[in-house]
Amino acid sequence: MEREEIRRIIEGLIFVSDEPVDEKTFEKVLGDSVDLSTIRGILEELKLEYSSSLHGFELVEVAGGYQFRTKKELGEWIRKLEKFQPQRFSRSAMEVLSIIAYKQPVTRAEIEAMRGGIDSSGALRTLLTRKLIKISGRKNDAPGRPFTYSTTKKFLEVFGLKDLSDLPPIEEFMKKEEEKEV
Amino acid sequence: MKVNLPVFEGPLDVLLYLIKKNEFDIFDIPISRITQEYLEYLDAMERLNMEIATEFIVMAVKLLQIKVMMLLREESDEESEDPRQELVSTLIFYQAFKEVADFLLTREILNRDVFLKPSAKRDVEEEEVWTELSPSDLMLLMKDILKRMKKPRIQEVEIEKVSVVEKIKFIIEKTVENKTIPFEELVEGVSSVMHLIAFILAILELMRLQLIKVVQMRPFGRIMIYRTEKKFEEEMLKGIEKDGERGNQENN
Repeated sequence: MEREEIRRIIEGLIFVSDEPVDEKTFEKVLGDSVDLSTIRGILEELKLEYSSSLHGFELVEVAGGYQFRTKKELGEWIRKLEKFQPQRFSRSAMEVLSIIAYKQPVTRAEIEAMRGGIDSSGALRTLLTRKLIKISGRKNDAPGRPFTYSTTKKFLEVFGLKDLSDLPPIEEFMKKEEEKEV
Repeated sequence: MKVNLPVFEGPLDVLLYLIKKNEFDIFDIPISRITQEYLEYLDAMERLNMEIATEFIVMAVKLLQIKVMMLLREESDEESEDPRQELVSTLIFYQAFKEVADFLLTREILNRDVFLKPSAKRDVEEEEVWTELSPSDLMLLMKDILKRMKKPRIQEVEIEKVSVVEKIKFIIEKTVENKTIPFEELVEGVSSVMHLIAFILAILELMRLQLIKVVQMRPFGRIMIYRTEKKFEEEMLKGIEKDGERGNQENN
């Protein structure tokens, strides 16, 4: 297959997908004759091409795949359309989400202890309904075998992260504070 | 006296605020001073009749506990663990998670800063599945609603003037051109059989005038009223007005 043809196919596959398309899907569709390095090279090319100021959207690597998203500068224009009303995040929901992102799987009691005993059930419910977190299991060695919570793929998608390791190490956020004090 | 009381997420938030305000070293917090200020804050909350959540009280107890342990530690010569240690590490982690929250909020957030193409495919499919219903389907629906309608225990003979034209106008008012509305929403709160019949007659009339279509997504699915693009004009009702009146007179 010609490289240009592969490129067109890859572009088309991303266009028709609702979710980020991962490398495995490209491999499956394109078959054995196309190797992973060619696919990766083309994805890099497409990323570069759409990053140009000529386009209103770009190719983003997110949640383990590739997805077309509008550029940030366009936000204020797109939000003028009624159906694109921005989602809001409460302070407490963001705190709980941050703790889960770094401490998962984590129980509600553990989250509350880290927040100085604040009842976090409301925040957890909000995050569950928005599918940013999920119940990932139970903590068997704790009394009452409480549920544990983890972040979802949607969390990665919403915050534009490739995977969990895309989050900076927690120490970086602690260092900051020390630096501030000096 | 004007009291400026910042709103905090919880007791740790208050402590971090006090540490920052007084420029305390987080690793060497002067425990009596911070305890005093913390208690003053709770006092202020109380004076403002704010509800003090349990976790604020629990923290006050913890602070006092640490204070006592610090005093005991000073008196003994033994090298022992700093009683503040646990609190300090909790505070540092909490501070870090607050920073994480700020960091996440600065990301290019989906549906706030950046957007996806909504699934165009899905919309097309949905529109194709709508099937138009015939008047006989409406009759079945009416039977169903009649069955569900509560029968009053005491039968009263009421002579009510029910106008089909009024129902037509009501439906026209309730619907928007090129939009659908669930049938149930239209007949919500209909109390008597007479009103329901008037509604059905109005719908049939509107179907005839091609002002609405009755559609359903799938068998036994919700019945929707679809308002067509055709403009509604008062004149259209002329013939019906007379008929309606006659009907009512006959009823009376």
